[in-house]
Amino acid sequence: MLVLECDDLRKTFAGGFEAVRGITFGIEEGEAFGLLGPNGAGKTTTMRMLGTLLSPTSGRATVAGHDVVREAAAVRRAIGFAMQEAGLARYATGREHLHMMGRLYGLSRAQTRSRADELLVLFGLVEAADRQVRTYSGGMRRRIDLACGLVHRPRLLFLDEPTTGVDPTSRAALWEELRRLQADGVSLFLTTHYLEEADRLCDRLAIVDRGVIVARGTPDELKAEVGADVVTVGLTDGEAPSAAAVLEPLGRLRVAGGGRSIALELTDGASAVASIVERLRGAGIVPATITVARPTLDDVFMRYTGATISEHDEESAVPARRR
Amino acid sequence: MRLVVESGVLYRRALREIPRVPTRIAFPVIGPVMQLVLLTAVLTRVTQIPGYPARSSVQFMTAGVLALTVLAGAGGAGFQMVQDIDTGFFDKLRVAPISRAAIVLGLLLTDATRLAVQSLVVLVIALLLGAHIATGVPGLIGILVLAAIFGMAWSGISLNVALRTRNPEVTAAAGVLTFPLYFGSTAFMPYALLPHWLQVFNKVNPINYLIVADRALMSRHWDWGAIGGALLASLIVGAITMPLATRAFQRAVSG
Repeated sequence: MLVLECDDLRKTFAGGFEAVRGITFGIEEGEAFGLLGPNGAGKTTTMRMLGTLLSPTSGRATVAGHDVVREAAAVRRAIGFAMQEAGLARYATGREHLHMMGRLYGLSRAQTRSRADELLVLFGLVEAADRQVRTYSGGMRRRIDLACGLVHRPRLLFLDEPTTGVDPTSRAALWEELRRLQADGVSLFLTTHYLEEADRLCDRLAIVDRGVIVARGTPDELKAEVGADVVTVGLTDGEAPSAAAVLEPLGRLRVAGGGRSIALELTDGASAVASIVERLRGAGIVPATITVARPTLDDVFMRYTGATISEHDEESAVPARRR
Repeated sequence: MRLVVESGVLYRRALREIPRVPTRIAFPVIGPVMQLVLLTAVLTRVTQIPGYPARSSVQFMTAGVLALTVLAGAGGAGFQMVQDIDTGFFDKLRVAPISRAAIVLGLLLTDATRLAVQSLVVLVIALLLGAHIATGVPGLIGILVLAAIFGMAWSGISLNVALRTRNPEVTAAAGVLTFPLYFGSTAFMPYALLPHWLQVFNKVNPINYLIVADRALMSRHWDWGAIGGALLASLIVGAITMPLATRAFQRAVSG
């Protein structure tokens, strides 16, 4: 069952800029789905339209079965939304944020209090709970923002660049928390321009470039489309010809490193390692090293957009504004 | 019913934050208090002018200073709104399943409360300087209520500026543009001693209606004509600022 569905969604801003030029996708219940793309690709605009913050110029979308334009209130009740700039009231404490959100989402006073306590524990914010959020670190701000989005136990959580501006340790911790949420049955919809984040977190993803989806699939499918794994076998001098002879039948190979290594292209490098070792042993060769390199999402990105994601970011001098 | 809960939550939130940023409550009263303490002293001898209606300048000028307090403080709602837009907190409220009116109502009620407190500070200082309130404690409460009502209507101006410019500096500065209405009013001199063109001007000066009502409560009696005038002025100001603010707000929330 689809928890989110959009069909040919478009947004043209006043002034004629076409931020989103026809985007179609669906998110399965329980799934983690990501939009991957450089800054300015239209990810945030798409997410804001689906989250009822921006009205689409054309196209149709439903979230939890409700139309995002005509039934905005029902959509808002079904989702939690953690925004890019972690919209927090600087002078309010973490606990006050949760209490405010609980009451605004229709929980009773008692429900709100116990849910807030629960979330503070879950996100490791018990000690900081009564401090004003302006004293929080970037990671803590993200966590309290995320907690705010979860007060009403939404079915679907929107995460706009969830770990941008967060240090690597906190990032790993946030990923951990998001995966735990997903295990509890919350569907995740996120945007990111971190390849690693897309790879680690998303069941499926769509690559967005200049307002359209240029590729979609699971991270592995996308990588498989780009090409094979490369297995590199390190050898000692003089072994290359006999090694090449026994490895030839496995796949395309070339001798590299001045005869000191062989690079093999295989669709599934990891499971071929055993037979590579066996064949080499049959020829009396013990390899010095074996490394398996898989194509990265960066390769995928390169293939579909003609640039690496970091090149893209440097290019887009005008960042995607909130509105 | 939901509207009451929602605007109540947002009202308490803004109220809670006021003492955490003491400048927000202190700064707007500094100017009025200086006028109350220094300007009334400078103008001590003004009472000797034939036709001056009070025995002390403090007694006469407190009403004007109260109006200035409202003008200087009524920017709070706009300032808070522009700050919330800036931090993204406004978006968090927009994505919540709440009435859009609650967002504005919460801020206006906060302004009303803050203005009543600031007016009370001004009144206490005036009393310490020798002024008296002819209508007693009920009159004092009446003055605070008028400040709150007029202030909410006047806050509509700052809300408009906030929503249209989304710039905290401009929003803060815009309040100053309303000061000519104050300096041209009967804050310093009674109506009878004003030049003719200012007498005409004050027939349509909303702030003067507030001053006249406050002055009646300070020095005379419950003059329902004057109080009615201040309420009507609030109503008219609100009838102009609120629909404009609502439209600017709709544009801001619909994206």
